[in-house]
Amino acid sequence: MNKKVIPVATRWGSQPMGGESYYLWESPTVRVWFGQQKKRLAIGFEYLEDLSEQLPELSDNLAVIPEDIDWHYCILDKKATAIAILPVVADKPILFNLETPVLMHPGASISVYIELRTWLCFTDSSHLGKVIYEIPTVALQKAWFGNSTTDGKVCYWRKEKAMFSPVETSNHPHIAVCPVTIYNRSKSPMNLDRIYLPTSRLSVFDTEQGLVTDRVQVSYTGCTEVSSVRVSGMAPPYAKSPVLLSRPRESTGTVQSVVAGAVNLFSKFNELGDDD
Amino acid sequence: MAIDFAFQRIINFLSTELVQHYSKALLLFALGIPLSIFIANRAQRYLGQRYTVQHGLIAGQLFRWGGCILFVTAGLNQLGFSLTPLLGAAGVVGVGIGIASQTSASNIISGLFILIEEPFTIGDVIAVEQTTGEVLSIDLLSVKVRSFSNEFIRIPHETLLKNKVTNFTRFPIRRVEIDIPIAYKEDVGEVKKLIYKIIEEDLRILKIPEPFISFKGFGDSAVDLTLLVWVEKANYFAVKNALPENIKYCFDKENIEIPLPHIKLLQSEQNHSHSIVAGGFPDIS
Repeated sequence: MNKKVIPVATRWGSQPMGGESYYLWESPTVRVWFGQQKKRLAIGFEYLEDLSEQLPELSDNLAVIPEDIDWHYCILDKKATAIAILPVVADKPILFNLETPVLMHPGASISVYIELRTWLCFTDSSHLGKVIYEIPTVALQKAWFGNSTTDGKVCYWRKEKAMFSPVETSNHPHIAVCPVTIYNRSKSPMNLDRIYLPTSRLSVFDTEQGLVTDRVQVSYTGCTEVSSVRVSGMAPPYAKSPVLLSRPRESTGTVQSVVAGAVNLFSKFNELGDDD
Repeated sequence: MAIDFAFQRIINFLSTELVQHYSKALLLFALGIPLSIFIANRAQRYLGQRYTVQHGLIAGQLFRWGGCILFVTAGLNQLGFSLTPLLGAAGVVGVGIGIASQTSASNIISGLFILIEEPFTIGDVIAVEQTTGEVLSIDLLSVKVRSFSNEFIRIPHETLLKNKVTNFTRFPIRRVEIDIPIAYKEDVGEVKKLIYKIIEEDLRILKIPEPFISFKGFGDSAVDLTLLVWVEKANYFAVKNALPENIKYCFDKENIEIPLPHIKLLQSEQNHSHSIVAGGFPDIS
């Protein structure tokens, strides 16, 4: 499809609509084209191999929109003159492996940093917050999280590992870093090798270091107990000049304490002691 | 004077016990039955949202029929019907009906057991004997099922209680099993790597529980492998259909042979051996 393609003026925020042009939003993992077509908003996207460390230069061939992409159409309000593109967290929890499994003794705590691939949320500027369409910036695989195949939940799975030090994401503007602190408040050691992160209560902030989410604290109290998760409701202290870009999918206040299966702990060390 | 007299007659008439009873009965019928239906609908909706659609349906039926029977009985009582002979007659009739409708009674009792045991709920996909389909409703005597070819099937509760019932959608995830025969000449390790690559690219296949390729055995014509992958129940049939097709496509691309059954005939007298490939012409050497 031969159309005039213009890169979006700002990565996050409002994009004026109108005219025959199509707009391009791109990151190393996805390219999204959108524009008005016969009074409809057309949104199409394709995923890329996430091999490049740098953002690809906008080349001439991007003016030609690939033929084989799927288009999604919607009719906007007559008053809508612009649409806003915002980063939001995934609509399901995500399962991450840890950089290396660690044995946490009772009373110990650890901070890890998780790279969250945000989703692009298109909203109608005339109805703030009214979602038109959402696109994950990376093709997501799913996994099962539970004690057995009959008891658990389907969640997303990412190959990126939770790291012990803050991750550099300047070349990946769609990645939000989520700092997670895990406390072992049980009476026995626990082997931590993967984290089940409920994302629905996370906000996304734009900072000088890139996108970040709220700080998450997880307290493990025993293998038979559910871990408690606290979401700070604000950007982590190390983030400079935070600007709130998107609110949580499930908003219940600034500081929340939810009970959820938050940390997947393999219980081989827990068998050593009683963790009441 | 005449008006006063007429008015007095009306007042006298209305104050008679008979009219009062009729009025009460009318009120009980007119208000009680709609009230029962209203409460039943509310209970059905509330319990359906809070628990399951099945729970809502049961509660709705109980409130609807229980309430109606209660108000109709009270109304009849106001009209002067004595319920004692009615109950007596109902007992006699009940014995008669009971003898005549053992099957129905059996279905009702079986239905109660099914409701208590809850092997499936509305919307589940079940298989009973030769029938497979989606459960539409669980009623007094039977379960209504819609088959995948859109046939309406009524299964009596008794059948469900006596036979093996398979619920395909009880749990959120299911395992897809695909038999993959490969020729003896192929490198099993390399074939496994290719299969894992195919699985990796299919986003419908769950990463955990991990996909697994099990060695089934040395077959007559092939090394038999079984691929075991887990998917969400909604994707089961899509993956079960698409994955073998994708594997076949990749095998063809990589020149990996999926062998046909071979039969080798040896004719020692003529010192000739004939090998016959099923589905093709014999290769005479």
